[in-house]
Amino acid sequence: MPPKVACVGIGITEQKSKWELTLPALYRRAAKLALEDAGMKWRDVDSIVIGNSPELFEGVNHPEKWIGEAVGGYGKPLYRVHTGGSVGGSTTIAGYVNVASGMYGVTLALSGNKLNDCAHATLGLSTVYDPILGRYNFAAGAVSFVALQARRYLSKYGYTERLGALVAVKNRVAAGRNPTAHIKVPDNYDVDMALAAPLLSDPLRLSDCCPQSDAACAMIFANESRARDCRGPVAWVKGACAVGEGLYYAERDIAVPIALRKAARTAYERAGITNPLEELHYVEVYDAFSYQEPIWYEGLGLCEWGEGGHLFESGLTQRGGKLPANMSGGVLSSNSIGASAMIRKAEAALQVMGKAGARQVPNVSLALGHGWGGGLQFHTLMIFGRDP
Amino acid sequence: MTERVAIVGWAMSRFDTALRHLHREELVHGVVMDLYERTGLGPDAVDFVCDASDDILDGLSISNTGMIEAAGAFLKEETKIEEDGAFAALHAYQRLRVGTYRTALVVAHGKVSESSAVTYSNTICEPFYQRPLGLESITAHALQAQRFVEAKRATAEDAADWVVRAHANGLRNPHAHAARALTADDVMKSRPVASPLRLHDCPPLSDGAAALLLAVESEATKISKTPIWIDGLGLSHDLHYIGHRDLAEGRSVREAAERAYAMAGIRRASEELDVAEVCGHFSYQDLMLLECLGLCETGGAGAFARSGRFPVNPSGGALCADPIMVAGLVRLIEAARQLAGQAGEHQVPGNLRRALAHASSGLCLQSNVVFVLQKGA
Repeated sequence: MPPKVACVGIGITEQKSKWELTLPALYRRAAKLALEDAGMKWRDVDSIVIGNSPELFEGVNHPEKWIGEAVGGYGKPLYRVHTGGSVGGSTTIAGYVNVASGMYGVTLALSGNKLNDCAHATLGLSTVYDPILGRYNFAAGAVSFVALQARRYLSKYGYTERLGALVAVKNRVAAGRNPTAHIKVPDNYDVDMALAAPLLSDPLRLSDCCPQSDAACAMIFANESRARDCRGPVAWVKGACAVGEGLYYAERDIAVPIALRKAARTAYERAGITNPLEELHYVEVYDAFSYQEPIWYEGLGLCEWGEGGHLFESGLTQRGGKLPANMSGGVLSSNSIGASAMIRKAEAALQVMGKAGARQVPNVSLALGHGWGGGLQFHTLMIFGRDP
Repeated sequence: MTERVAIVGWAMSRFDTALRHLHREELVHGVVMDLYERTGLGPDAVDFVCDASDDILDGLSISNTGMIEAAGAFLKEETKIEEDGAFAALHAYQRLRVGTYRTALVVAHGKVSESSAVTYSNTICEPFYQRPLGLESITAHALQAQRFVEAKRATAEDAADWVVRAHANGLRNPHAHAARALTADDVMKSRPVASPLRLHDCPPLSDGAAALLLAVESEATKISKTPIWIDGLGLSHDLHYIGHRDLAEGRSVREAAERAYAMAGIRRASEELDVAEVCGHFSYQDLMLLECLGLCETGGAGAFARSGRFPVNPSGGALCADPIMVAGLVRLIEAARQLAGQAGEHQVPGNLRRALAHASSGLCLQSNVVFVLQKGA
């Protein structure tokens, strides 16, 4: 059995269109919030893991070299993770691994991006495509790729565009309860308003797409003895897993996230979960685009393939439902990319700690946070529990 | 109880100025297939895959999107550490210590021939103060070399002798593509590049890839007859702005070495270690590393190297082949090869028991990782 590790502190900066701070200063802000939350000082941190998405967003290569000293990295073990949109999740897992390896008592994991330092995030994302196979006629950031995923999902299972609008309404309205969320809508925001939004790439409308935000997130992981020294509530890591699949293989069905299914099975096994729909109390999925939320439900094994839309429509994942999802407003409401997959884990941990404020769901003792990245191919999961 | 972790397999591509016939995925696939062949294993035997590559070097955002199939990581647990491959090896080592995984594959690649080494290193500098100066790898390391010389820790002759020795070693290593027979005079009369660096003080530009397989003890002894144990490991990070550091101090190298030695129980490095592979990218930096790693006295690197009493970089080091993102992982592989007695023509004679491998990331040794390896129980 791996050693017990807990998340003992969380810091999430406001997620907004322009932070008038340098990249290191924004990370420092998240780090200070997390230290304050954990009741720790800089000197309590034994090692640091930094996550940051494509360098082309900020135009800074090896950004951890610049960020390091701003987050207490001088003289400390520090390295960087980068797996695209999933980086926040990969960094969270690396922070956990640092502690679970027995080499460090306390690890500070941070991830973020300043998308508005870039001319447009789509520029940094269009270069994800292979220069020969994908860049000339196809590349238009994440939107064009996910539009294909959404269209495939709708046509494969017979859903309509109303499904995307329903997700947009749930998550955008939920963001109203989250003080760090970027896009907030009035409480009377409804499906008709979502469907009236301009079309970006069929079937994706503006209401189905995430904004581009500046944000950073920090999570502090501690071993059992250091976690027990903490006064506040902690969230124990019950299972973590990141699985990748290929990008350009011929028989790929992008509406069937097999890497997520594999990651979920592995993470559930580690957490001792046999029926996730019954045993989990809260989930945060990486809903960069509205249609992805039901697709990820399927990948997570909350239902059969093709049933994600029906699961969503049943209201089970709404506030007050059996398994509320994305009460933070999700990625749909705030997306800095770098921080987003970590914030999914952080939101799950906050729910377990009972510190989610106005978005708190009652009695959460087992919660899951998800993140995806690359060409819809990397999936990261972490499950937190109230008990070790 | 945490199991020990060993290096049980490795593979390196050919290193060359431009591997034009290979796409980066082919390059990675080649080393992974080679590693499978050498170990008699296949993808099913690998629990976790860790990639190391750089978006700006690859001209590709999220440079590992195409690496999943190439590295045999399809539907496997995986991540990417965006530092030299040696840092990915450190992460993989930590994964194995968790107890969830039994084997971990580390893969690193760099194809600078399709990119620009100047852009790669200039963009490491933060954008406001250092980058507009045009600071990049050669100019930054020239400042470091100048500081080292001014501190009277080495001379141009020391550096030239080191280059001659490194290249002579490299001539015995087929991976050292830039190695050539040189005299100290050749080095000291070569074209000035950025004072005090001359052409032969600088590394070549190299394309290449390398792979490393790690395993926990119970698995390692099944996979390899000569598992090379990772006994010590240290990592540290220094300030970013080069004006904030005494560039000749090498503080983070010293800290990383101290941590690795403490973990491996080493008190006197040059006596307890038998061979070292250090990843200096310039002649003076190699000499500085000898001091910072505690292999010789302060100011004694030139004499120490000339004495030849302790083998450093029998492979020729990064001066003879320097694939960005890969060179540090190659040091780790070369150190393991020496202990396993599988270094071919550049094998150091005698019974080698313990080896050191060093790698760095960033400019002027900002981040460093040090491994202490051991053969046998």
